[in-house]
Amino acid sequence: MAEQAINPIEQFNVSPLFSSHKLGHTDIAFTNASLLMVIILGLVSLLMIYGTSRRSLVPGRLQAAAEMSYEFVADTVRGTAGNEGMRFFPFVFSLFMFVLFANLLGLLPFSYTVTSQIVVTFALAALVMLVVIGYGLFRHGTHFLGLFAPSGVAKPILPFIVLIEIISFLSRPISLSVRLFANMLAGHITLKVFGGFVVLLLGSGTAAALIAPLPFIGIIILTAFELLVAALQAYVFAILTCVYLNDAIHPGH
Amino acid sequence: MANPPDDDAAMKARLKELSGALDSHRKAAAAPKVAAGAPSPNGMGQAMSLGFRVMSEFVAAVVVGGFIGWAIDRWLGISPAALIVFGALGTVAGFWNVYRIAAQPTGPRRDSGR
Amino acid sequence: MDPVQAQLHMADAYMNAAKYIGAGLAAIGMGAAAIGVGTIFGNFLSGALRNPSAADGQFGRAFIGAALAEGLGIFAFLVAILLLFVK
Repeated sequence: MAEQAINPIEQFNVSPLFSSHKLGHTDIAFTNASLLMVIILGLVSLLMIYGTSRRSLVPGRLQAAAEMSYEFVADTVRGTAGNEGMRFFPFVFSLFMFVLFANLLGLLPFSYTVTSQIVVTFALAALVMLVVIGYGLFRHGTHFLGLFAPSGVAKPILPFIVLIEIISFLSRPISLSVRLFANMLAGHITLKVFGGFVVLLLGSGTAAALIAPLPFIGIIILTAFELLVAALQAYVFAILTCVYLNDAIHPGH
Repeated sequence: MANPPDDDAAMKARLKELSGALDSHRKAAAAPKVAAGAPSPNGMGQAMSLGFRVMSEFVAAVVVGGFIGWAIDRWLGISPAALIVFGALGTVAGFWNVYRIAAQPTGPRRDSGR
Repeated sequence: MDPVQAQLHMADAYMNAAKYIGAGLAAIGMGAAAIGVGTIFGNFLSGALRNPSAADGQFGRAFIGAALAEGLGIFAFLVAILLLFVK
């Protein structure tokens, strides 16, 4: 019975909330993941709209939060992709807020971490790469492919360099999505495993129950670490989006 | 009435001197934070984000290289040849990615009192 | 079960056993990566004690080194997963 109760993977399965509807072959059910996404969307827009509604000179708490997140992402974009990168600011900002809120909400008990599904993170990463490639081709045309042949490279090894650049370009969406996914997945599994320790120790006799608080303290520390990792992953996702956009804006570094 | 212009001049001089003092004060306030020895909180965050980026870029490049090699192997039927070649290329691409990330000089005292 | 099927079954069992042993050995690679990360941070700390003013700037590079060592450890993990779950 204990094994069935303490399954660290069980927290990740997506279950439809209402009865699942079929649209042709695809199952368009409103699952707990989509519920969380709607909640995230609501919270982010609530924060930004309500936060900036009063526009008082002395900002209230909500307005300070809205302004702070705006300033933070604007500095990152301006610092990494330059002023022309600010054209993509709304895109980067919404990505950052979505990932940040998804990670933070995921830490609440009984909620669901949307970014612990590879399909969600890969969709975000693919979206970023499509914007990068689209804008690069739109703005520089075929010259954008100069990105794969950096200037000042000796002719004989150019094909190798081009191959290496292609591989490193292809690895970008993979690294973007797998980093976020793996960090969130590993963090939450560790939390649940420590939780299982506490339950098992409490369940098996008084001697073991004495050391039960140890994994409990472990959970407290791990949750603090998870908070740091959650914010950090959102920041890393945003700053790398800016770095890749910067490559699209001026190829051939 | 000569005094309004030199009043203005005096005012401007005092203003400049005041802003100079303000700037030096701000720099002084910022300096001890950097020399405090313990890495400042965003220093830790900065370094960890660098670490996360490096690890995933490196691993992703090698995995993508290996996958392309494996895919070409299956497609052309030359058993491990393409896997070895593209695996090596992926590793080189991985180190090239890491070099590009690490090449920005993180000097001994980055001016964080901006 | 006729002998041929029994033989097949036996061969299958051997293969599975070999896979598990291989995955176990691959886990040692993770340990080696941990030693690598340990040495990197150990040397960084001893260097930082000798010259604390330079510690801040090189803090990022210590993490880059540690990340590379962890990255190679991830490959050991990848091999173990491949052995276990790929038919």
